[in-house]
Amino acid sequence: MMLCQICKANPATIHIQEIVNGETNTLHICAECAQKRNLAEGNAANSHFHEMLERLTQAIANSADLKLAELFEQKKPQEEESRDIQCGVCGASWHAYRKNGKVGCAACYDQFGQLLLEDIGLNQHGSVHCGKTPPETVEQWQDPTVSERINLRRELERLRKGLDESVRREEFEQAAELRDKIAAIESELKSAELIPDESTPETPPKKPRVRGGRRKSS
Amino acid sequence: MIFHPRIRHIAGKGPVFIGQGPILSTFLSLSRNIEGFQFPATASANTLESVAELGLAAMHHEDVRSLLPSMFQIKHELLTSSDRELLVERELMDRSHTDIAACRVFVCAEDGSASVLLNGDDHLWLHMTAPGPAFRELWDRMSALESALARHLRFAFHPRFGYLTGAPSLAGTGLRIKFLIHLPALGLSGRRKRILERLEDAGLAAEPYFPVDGKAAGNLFLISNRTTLGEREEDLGNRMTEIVMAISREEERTRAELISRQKMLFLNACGRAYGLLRNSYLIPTSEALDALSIMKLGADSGVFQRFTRRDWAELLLECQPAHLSCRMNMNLSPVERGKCRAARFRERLHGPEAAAETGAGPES
Repeated sequence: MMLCQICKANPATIHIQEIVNGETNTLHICAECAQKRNLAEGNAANSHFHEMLERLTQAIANSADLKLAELFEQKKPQEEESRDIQCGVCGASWHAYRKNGKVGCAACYDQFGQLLLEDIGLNQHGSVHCGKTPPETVEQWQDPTVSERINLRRELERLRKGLDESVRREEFEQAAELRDKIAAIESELKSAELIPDESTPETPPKKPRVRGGRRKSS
Repeated sequence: MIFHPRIRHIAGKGPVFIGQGPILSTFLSLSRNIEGFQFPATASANTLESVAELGLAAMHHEDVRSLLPSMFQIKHELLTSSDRELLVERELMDRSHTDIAACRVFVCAEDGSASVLLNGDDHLWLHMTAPGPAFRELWDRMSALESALARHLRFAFHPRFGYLTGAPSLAGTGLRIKFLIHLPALGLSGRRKRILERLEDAGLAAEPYFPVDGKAAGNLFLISNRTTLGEREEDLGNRMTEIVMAISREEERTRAELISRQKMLFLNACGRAYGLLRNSYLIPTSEALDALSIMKLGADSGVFQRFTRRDWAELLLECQPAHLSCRMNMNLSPVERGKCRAARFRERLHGPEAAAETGAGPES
């Protein structure tokens, strides 16, 4: 069995191949080392990963006997640079944010908290929001059916994710259970109001073709 | 058919940039996300679909609809590239939202004064325009629309970061305020660059509205806020209005000085711009915009008595690519556009017979 080229202890389970100047370079590492270096698979970390890999493979081409472990340490001098955090909810990473200025979901704001505040706070007027805030109490919501639908939608999202997961794990009994739950929620959502998703081009623009404010049939 | 009938209808509406004096229009946009759903950039198709449905359901409530008069909705993918270009020219869509994406829906008030985009950079992107410096009125309207939507949707909110957005640089109020301002005299005096650069200290930014080779064709600039956290919407809007008004006063003062000192040169420039627009048979956008800029300067100063700011604003819109295509109802090559543009100018400044001379006049 091939050993990891970094720690030289665990079996290498990740194999990376890249062609530089017509020369093929292959890197075999274990999952642990990969994760340690933020090399774990996943789209969010990909760009960072490629950048690192490029430097790595170039260096290999230049001096074949340079030790990889040394190289990693040498090329990552700043602690801040190498530190990466991933959002537990959507999987977006801090490095991805630094690259494209975007986060994936509301939870990212909590996950990246202080770092994010320091980053955006630099160019902002203050560091705490002031101005408009959402209506505080649920009583202010005029329409309970909408919030109910939102909850159903959220539940649906959760179940669908669970279904994918159990199919992958080949836990078919659980999958069947989830599938039935999903079908039940879907039919509940369908029985409620449905919005026409298109205004037909030919209609004169006098009357909006919308149905609104209709509640679930009681 | 290269234009959706709804969009064609909007193209026939009155001009947007009709403000008196240097400040032509105010644009407001507000970004919101629905709590519990991933932001559009990385969201799954299911999430996007849910968001679109929830957003539309909320918008069809009477209290929301009354704030978006006679609104209509079109799936983004059903809009042609010309449609989207036309919406950008009319300031109803952001250029960053012109690419087709799953479950993106465009909602628009029939009078073209407000639009909502679902699943753009954020779940909801509310946008409104008004002529002149109009932060107050626009914010009242925008705030009412947002509050109405918030009665039916729970927006992602954080006590510290405020309203959460896909780009954290917009988190807080989620509000972008933009003023379209016309600064030809300050440009001529050579002080414009310095004045606009100083905006940075106030957390504002100025950018050319029609960038051509790094310059602002037509002397038109957009001044917008860069900060969204730590300042109330009204405070920001009032502060920006004050700054923009001060720049506008400076522009007007410079204009008066220019005219009193170099009247002959000024009249010469106005006359030549008029002549160029009135007598061209082929005119590219940037040349047309620069000539229009001087025409506006002349009109504001009373040189052209019969050329109103509405005429000017209409010409400014009509000379842009998608509006020309819409008028001719066909896709046009740059040269054809140059011809049609010139024909339109001749017609507007001369009378219809001039446009017919080359047969490139508008469809009758």
